[in-house]
Amino acid sequence: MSQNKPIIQIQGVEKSFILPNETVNAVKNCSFEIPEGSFTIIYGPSGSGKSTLLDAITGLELPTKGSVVFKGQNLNTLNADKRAKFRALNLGMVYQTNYWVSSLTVLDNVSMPLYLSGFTQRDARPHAIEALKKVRVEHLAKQRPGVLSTGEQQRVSMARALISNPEVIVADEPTGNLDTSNGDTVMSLLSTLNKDFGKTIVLVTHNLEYLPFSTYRVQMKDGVATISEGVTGLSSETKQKLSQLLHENSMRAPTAPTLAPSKRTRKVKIQ
Amino acid sequence: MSQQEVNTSKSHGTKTIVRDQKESLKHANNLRLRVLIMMSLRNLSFKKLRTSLTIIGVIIGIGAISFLVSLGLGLQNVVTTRVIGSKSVNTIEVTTSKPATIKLNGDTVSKFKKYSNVIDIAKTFSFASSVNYKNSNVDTVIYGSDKSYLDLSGFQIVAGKNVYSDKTSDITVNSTMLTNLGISDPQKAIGQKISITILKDKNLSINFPLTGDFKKELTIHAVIDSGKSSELFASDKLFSSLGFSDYSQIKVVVNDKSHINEVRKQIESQAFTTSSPADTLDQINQVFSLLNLVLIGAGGIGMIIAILGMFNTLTISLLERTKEIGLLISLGARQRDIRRLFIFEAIILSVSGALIGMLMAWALGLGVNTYATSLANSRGVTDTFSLFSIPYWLTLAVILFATIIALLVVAFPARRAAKISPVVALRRE
Repeated sequence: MSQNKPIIQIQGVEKSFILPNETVNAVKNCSFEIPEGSFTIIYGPSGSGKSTLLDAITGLELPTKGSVVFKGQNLNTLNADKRAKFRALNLGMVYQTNYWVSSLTVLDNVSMPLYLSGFTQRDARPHAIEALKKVRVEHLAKQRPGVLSTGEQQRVSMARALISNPEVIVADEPTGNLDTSNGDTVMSLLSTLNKDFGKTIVLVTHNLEYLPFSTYRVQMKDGVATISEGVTGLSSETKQKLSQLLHENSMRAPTAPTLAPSKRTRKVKIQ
Repeated sequence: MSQQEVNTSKSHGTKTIVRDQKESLKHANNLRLRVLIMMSLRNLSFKKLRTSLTIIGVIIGIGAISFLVSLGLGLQNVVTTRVIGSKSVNTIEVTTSKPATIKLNGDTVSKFKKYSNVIDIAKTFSFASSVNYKNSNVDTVIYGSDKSYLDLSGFQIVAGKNVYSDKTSDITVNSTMLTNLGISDPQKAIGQKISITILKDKNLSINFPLTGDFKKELTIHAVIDSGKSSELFASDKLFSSLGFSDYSQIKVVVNDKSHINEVRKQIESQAFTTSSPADTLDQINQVFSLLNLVLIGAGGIGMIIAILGMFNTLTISLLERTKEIGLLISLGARQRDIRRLFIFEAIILSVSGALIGMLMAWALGLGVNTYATSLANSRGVTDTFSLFSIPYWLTLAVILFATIIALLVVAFPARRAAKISPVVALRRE
């Protein structure tokens, strides 16, 4: 077991789907803990239940059985709106396919997690520009995301995941639609966030090439999770490539955006 | 406070946190209204053609209803003005069908004044008379009215200063009388003397205190418009000073229209006959209420088409944006945020269309009013015609109507949008 304390605890999670002729058990009695600051990769073949497990971890869907606990908060006890708010405050989401609010600019799309947390456009703008700078696409701020290349879109998507400085970044097959170069860039960005800024990364992939990035691994097979941890050995070629990418994509430390003081913001002070 | 600041604070030994997990969920800020409006506007402007066509539909629907209702209201005003004129609708006209036994005199007036809600009583005598001016002789009715009576009658002055004069030697004549007397210029009639004769034999039905006929030369001090038959108006004092005491008609003024029936019942219980301009007004209002309903129905056809257009636009928008909605929910949007997004879009579509529709209906009505007035003026009519009338309450009612329509139309798409599962929406491919 990792020495780091767990940030997410998956406790006996099962997820079943009732189809007209059968019941599919997509995830079967999974129990493990994702350590804080880990680079966790959930991997396995298509249909193994990894994305379903991720949906339960993010609170997008409640498990049929068991529970997901995020820093002591059982997500099962929250209704859909509170789980949405939980995601806005704690998770940065990156998807394989880039989804956008197509009528908004890159800047507004990146600002969306902050908008959903009560920021105005004026308040969110500097944070959005900062996030775009981190992934080196600030020059695309005024574009509509739909006109960008897939690689650019994935960078903007990363900026959106980073803007609220969440503790956990959840990436569901983020390199699935990218060429090798762009895929490696995304992985190096995630690695930087993990190594240099202590972000917990939860990555779902079926690409075993990325396993060396991980410090904690969950292998999914037929809905059953098998855990392994520790840094795996990297080939010299991978090490070199990783080192180069990390250098190219070095970024400044992310800072959490704060709202201007208002009646809505409640601070709790403990002596 | 930021996470970085939190860490810094911790390093300085002060245990300060912004909020714990539960607190943050409880008190996290929600999507701001101005951001929601921005998102709605951006989405609508993103689909310019569809949005424009939908708004045009609402403009036509609301414009047609506003135009037709304003026509109904305008016509109602015109008819009311023509029929009621400037008469106060708060009055009850009291006459007696048996003047010999049921008298309208000073005692009656004193009694009526005591009724609650009665604020004034106007009185008039009337006699059959003949008028002589130079070689002209006209049979007519002469009234002896007090100031209140003439004020309530709302006559328009054609020449002279005041309709009423308390001098017993003055008389007010109407334009028809002047024409019959052969005086073409009303201004020249002022100061002219006419001879009045009231024959006792022709006024047998009333108490006639004089032993013989009444004859007097009176000076014209004002000319008025009062109708198509010849009429003369002298001061009531002329007759009361001669001993006349029975009025032919009195007008009882009440403080509010709602008290008319109550006071009428009291008066009628004394065997007097009553009538009120309110009766006519009620009949006019009844007829025009029906007409307005018909006009709203006609305009409503356009509105139904506009409503279907709005529903279509919002439903297509919902289908097109399923992934967007899934994304917003996965990023932290609450169901109510999604609902509000659709509601705002519907309200923007509906209210903007309603305002433009109202504006166009108003402009069209104003054009017709101006044309009708100029046409009337070119034919010698001095009045201003307002065939179309858009009172402020109609504007407010239309905006309220547009908002309600928007809320009804958007209810189904907004509810569906809020229930979209982000997992299903984002895994459609």
